[in-house]
Amino acid sequence: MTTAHLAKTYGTRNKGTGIPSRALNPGLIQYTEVEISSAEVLAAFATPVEVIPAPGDGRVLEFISAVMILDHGGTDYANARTCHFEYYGGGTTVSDTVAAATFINQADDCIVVCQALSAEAELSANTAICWALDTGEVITGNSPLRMKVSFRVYEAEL
Amino acid sequence: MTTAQVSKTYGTRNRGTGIPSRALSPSLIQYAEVDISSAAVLTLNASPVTIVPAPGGGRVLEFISAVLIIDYNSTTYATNGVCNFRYTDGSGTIVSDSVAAAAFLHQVDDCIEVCQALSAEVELTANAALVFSVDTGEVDTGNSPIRIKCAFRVHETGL
Repeated sequence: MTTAHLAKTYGTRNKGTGIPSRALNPGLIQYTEVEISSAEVLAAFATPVEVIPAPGDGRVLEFISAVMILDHGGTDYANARTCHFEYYGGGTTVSDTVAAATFINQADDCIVVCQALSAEAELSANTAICWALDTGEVITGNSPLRMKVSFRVYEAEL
Repeated sequence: MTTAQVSKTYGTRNRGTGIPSRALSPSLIQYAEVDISSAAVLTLNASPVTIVPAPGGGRVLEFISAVLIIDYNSTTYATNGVCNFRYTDGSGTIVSDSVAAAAFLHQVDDCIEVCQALSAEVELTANAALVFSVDTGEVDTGNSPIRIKCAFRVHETGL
């Protein structure tokens, strides 16, 4: 496998070629991409940003991992706030918590991977998963974010 | 699922039947297999082996996991031997757990080991290859080839 081979396979857009996750059984890994504006980042403590919608009655989402991209816009976000993924409504945290210095307070473009919690976690049926800040808002920054999130959908039969 | 069903699905080679990862969107899990000769194992500290090539501008590789197989020959590798996956070369950011020498390279018989992605967050390196390397210094004296089965994703960064 070479870089040229990868480029041919991947096409001009990551999602442009090959069988997309939406064509697979949802029990297999699914993939979603979400753009988060700087205005949404500045309010992500009070208003976490939905990255995966609720899957419907009788189903549950499993967070697998996310690649988080900060496209630095010129002004750093201030206030040291960690971030994570959680179920909608201030629900259970489903990912590791990412340190402020590692991601949201970065002073240039940044790509960080965030893993699912290694410990067991009780999942919430038919509930969206959101990206959220901890303890309070960040201020002053102007960088948009891009989230590339991997997840599964299970029939809970509850 | 039974063993027979698994055998039918996988064929005689893991990649023999079914939809291969290269037919899937690269944002889904991709899969690479690399054979590493014993000569290459003996220089993994100075010359890490590329497992997944750089994906091209505006893209980043996410290491997911790897299965490491040592096909034991007759002489055990000695000294050093902690191994891991990194970006670019022996100085790149480590993206996997480090595998103890005793758990893999210093084994005295055939061995299959799984290596996971780092559980902590880590800053990724855009358009960089994933390589397999040995820390600290070279192993010596061994003569067993190894095989790497690596799962990864490719993301468009927009950067």
